Amino acid sequence: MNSESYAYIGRKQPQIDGLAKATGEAKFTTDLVLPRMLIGKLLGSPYPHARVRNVDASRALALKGVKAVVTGKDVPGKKYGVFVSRMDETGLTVKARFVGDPVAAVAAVDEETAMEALGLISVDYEILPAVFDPEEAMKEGAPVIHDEYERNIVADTHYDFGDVEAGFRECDHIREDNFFSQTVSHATLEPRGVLADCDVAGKLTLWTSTQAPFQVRRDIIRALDIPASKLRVIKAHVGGGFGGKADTYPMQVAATLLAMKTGRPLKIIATREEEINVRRRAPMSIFTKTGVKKDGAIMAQYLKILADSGAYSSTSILMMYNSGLTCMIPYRIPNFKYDGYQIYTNKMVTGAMRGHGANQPRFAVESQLDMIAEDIGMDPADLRLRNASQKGDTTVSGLHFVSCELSRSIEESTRNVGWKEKRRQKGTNRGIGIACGGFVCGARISGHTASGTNIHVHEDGGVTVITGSADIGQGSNSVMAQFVAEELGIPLSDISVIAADTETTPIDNGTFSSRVTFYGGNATLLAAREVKQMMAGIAATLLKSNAEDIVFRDKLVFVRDDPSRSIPFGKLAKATEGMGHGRLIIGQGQWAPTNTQFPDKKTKWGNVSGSYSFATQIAEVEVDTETGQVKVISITIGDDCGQVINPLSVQGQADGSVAMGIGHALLEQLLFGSNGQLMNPSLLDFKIPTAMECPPTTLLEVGTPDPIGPYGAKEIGEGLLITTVPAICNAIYNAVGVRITELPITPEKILKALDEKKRREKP
Amino acid sequence: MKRRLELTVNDECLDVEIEPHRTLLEVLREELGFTGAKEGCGLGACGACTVLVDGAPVLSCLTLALEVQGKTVTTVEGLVKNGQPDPVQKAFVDHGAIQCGFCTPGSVMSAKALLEKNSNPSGQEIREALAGNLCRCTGYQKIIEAVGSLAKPR
Amino acid sequence: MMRLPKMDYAAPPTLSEVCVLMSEQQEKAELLAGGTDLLPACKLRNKQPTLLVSLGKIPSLKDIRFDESEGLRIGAMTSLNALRYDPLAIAHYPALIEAAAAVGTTQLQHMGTLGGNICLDTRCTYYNQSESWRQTRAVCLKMGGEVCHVVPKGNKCYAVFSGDMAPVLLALDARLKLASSAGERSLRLSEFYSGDGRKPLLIRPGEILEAVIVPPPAGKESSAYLKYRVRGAIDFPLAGVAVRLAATADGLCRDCSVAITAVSSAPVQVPEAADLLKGKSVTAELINKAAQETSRAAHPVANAFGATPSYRRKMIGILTRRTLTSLAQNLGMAVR
Repeated sequence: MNSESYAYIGRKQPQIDGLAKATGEAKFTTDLVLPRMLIGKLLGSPYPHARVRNVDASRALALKGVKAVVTGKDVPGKKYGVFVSRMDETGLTVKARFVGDPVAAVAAVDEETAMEALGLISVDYEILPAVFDPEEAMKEGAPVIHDEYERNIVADTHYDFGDVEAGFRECDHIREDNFFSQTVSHATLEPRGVLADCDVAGKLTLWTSTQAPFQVRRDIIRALDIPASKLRVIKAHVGGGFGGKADTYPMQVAATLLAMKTGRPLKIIATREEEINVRRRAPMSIFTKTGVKKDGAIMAQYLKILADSGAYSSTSILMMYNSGLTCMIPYRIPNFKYDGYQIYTNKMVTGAMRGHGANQPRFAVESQLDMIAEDIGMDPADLRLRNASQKGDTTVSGLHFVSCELSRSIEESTRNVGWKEKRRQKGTNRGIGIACGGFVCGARISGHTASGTNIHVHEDGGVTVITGSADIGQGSNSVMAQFVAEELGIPLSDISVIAADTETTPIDNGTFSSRVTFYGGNATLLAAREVKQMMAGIAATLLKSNAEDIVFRDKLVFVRDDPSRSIPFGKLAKATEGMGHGRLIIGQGQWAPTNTQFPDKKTKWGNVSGSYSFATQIAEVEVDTETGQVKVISITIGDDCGQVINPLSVQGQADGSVAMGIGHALLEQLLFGSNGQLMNPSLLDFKIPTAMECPPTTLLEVGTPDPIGPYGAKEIGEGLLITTVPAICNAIYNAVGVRITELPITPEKILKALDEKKRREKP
Repeated sequence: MKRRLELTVNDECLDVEIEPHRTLLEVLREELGFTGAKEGCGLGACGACTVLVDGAPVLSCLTLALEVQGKTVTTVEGLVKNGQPDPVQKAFVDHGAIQCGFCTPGSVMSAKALLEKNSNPSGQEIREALAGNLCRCTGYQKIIEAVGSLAKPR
Repeated sequence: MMRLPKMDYAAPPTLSEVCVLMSEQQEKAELLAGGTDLLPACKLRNKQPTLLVSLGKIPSLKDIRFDESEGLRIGAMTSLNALRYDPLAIAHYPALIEAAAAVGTTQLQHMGTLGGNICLDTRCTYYNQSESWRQTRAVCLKMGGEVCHVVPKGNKCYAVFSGDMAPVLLALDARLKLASSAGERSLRLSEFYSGDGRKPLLIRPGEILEAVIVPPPAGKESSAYLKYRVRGAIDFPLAGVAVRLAATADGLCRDCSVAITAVSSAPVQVPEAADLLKGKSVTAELINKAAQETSRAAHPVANAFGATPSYRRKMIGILTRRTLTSLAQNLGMAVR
């Protein structure tokens, strides 16, 4: 069936909770209030590295309205973290590892009292030597941040596929270049928050802003040593995540602990400063060596990456794995080697962020490919076309592409922008640049990674979809509803979605790694088909036909060859319940890809994703050569996300990715003081793009339905962001002939490079 | 000492006893239950708390509540009339101008203020009017389209 | 939520009552004239007044009047948005419009007032931070301490003045009308700024900025303001240049005034640059020289996010050249 014949798939659908959001009705964690609710605040360390000798909370506890103070010593359980092998967090710590690391938390009747109480807590610190630079932190004799990790190396990942040395020997041209990608903030508009409630029987309920409620439950029961069944985690409306809310954060642990201690509901909402200080994208120093034949064929590539982890590991091993893995996706590289290191430092924590580990090396590699193209006198689009991955390819690292339209995305996007003509324009300070990339649809590197959905059909034909897949604002609830609408032939307005509650929805490990549509969508599809099968059987009896000839469409259920023999969907629902001999109309689906393979522990060989997305991005920029300011004129994307489910959401992901990419390329940078303290924890000083910086984007969908994805869909949430940055870098080079290898590309860097260029050209 | 604040919120005359250091955002959210306006930064840099005071878009996080004594405040909740969303709200939904929705109440109010003043804004005027409402999800394009769809050529 | 410190509030209906209140309260009270600068400072505990005295209940402070002899008289509580769309201002002082439109965001322009923008407190990367953030370091000069974290050996506070309106008003040679219980006084805007980052305004205790008076344009003249910032909205200037240029009938420069902002603790006039042009035929070379002079008058330090001091200084030169060039062209002065 092609998309023309779908009723809902491939058609623009406003978010099913759009009106709730537009009218202010949607409740985010900060909006939730319970009777007798207390307010909590965390006390952060003023030192980057210090042992807590003692906390004297007596003055705080004496303040009227203060109900409890807890410290690192009150956390009874074990360390938690994203990966079992890297669990290093406790929520509240007895050893502070960055400025702001929470050492205590207070519960009070209101926020002002809680704030005042924080000022009355005396902490006796033993100040330890601190280290802020990953290279320094790796040296022998550097301060040790976590005792278990020598030289502060928290992750080191190595690939060696093919024969890289032999590959380089075959090359006609080899380049070696260094790049640096800065650290940036997710800057979700909603700051993190949590509301914890403890009932008289000791059962705890958390409403929180999270991408992964089941992960939060797993971590908190560990940290606080409570049985899993005693903690329920409910995702409220989430105001954006971008990876930052994929981990458990200290506030969630502290709120639970304080609710247990006081027996009262307690809410903690981060200020913007506290919010920015929780997670950030890892900065990376990247060495790239790539070799090609005269015709542009890539023969070998080597990357060495040094990444800053900050004070805790978060997703470190997955990120370092991704940095190497995602280099294998867009191009055929017969010989590939990678050494990735992530290092603890006494700065705030780095973690997952949209594109997770892929953005930084993509920026390096795509920049270098343009340098190579120039060196060998080849058009950079042709160079990419020459090497583009193809459907059916298996990479030397074991990734297998069941669908791939990268070549088409290059061809269509270059055609759309008039690539050849625009590349030739000279003396305008306008330029155009290209970059390609690809991404996983859920990386499966170990452990539990399935998704599940239950569907209930009510007696009037209304449908409730209960899924573990967490909608964090990207619109997955609407996508799930679309799948159900298509299967059951009912409008979205008849479908409600309950998403992500550890007590009532199927387990799901969270919204990250671009897995939600792919995994959750397939699970939902299976559940819908189970319902459909049951109802089709009853319909066949009623309409005197066969179940396989029953069609569900436009709220009607009818016989394919004789639509006049029909029954309204609602009536069928009632009839099914009545004739179902006491059975309810409940469908269940759980799904994980069967064509994947965990990477080999030693070699990392394996196929981690059921399918992969591909994209080409073309940026057009104008550079003011006097001020160095860059204006992005337009972005054109050739995208293969398989079958588009909702063009409105897909375009929204593209626009949002472009905006974030412009920020990463040109504007954003978290800065640290000499004491490792974050210098710009505000939306005034950490500069995300406004409506003034973001140009219109043209999205060309070139994908074909993927054989694994639900209705042929693949990911789009992350894969597009990773190509925006290098496309802009390459466009700047095309415009004014300067190559900036350290992000962000500030006007000052452009001016400096222009000066150097002038000096080089006129010796 | 608490003071009495009389104001009109969403067509309803209200009076409320508040401490003088309360912001309009605190009073709307915590005293009156209008939680549509959000705090994204609390310092005037994000626009998530935008409401209308006598028709002008202002940041409720930087407005002392007592300063709106006797004035008319409209929040995102107040745009819904007789159960029907405002055309601005509907346009945001239909054009996909909403993703996570946290900035939406503020963006909707800025858009509403613009269209009340200028029924036929250009693309650039829309961008400028919305530039004080940070959004990390949408990249702004669909917000601009949504507002543009309501522009009425004179 | 970010919470304000506990404080009382008064909104007297007349200026004289405000004056009495302010002279009684002295340092303990702060004037609320829009609040977009003051309230963040209170939330961050940079300031902890016990009383806020609102000027919002005095309608006369929002008046804008134009008089051929006096010029434009703008009440201090005129919102930047009202000024931006004021037909009198639009007709006579394009730079005022450009500057008002360049402030922050639409919301901030609706809330912020001309008086408030003129009296903007100076800013610093180590000062405009929360109380808990600042506790990791010694108290800085601006917070009443002994050290400067930007210029460690300095004994002066270098916090930067970042207002957009002041440079324009300096270039237009505006005067301020100040009221106090002791009476009124008037002074040139150029005499209003101390240059000390700690206490940037030479306003006397209990004194209130009542109005700004901009002299009437004389003959063929125009003005312009250009601002460098990282983003097209929200951000304070990292460099700003305002220029007033007047032409003679035969196209020479009759008068010129140049003022800069965001590059030191006060907005400053640059007579060295303006004098280069006066009475001359405006050439590109002369404009370049004026730009160099202006750039020389800028003394930024590393206390703002988004650009280094040397870049900000360079931008002052470029903005000066661009402003002068476009003004000269607009006035029909042939730029050769």
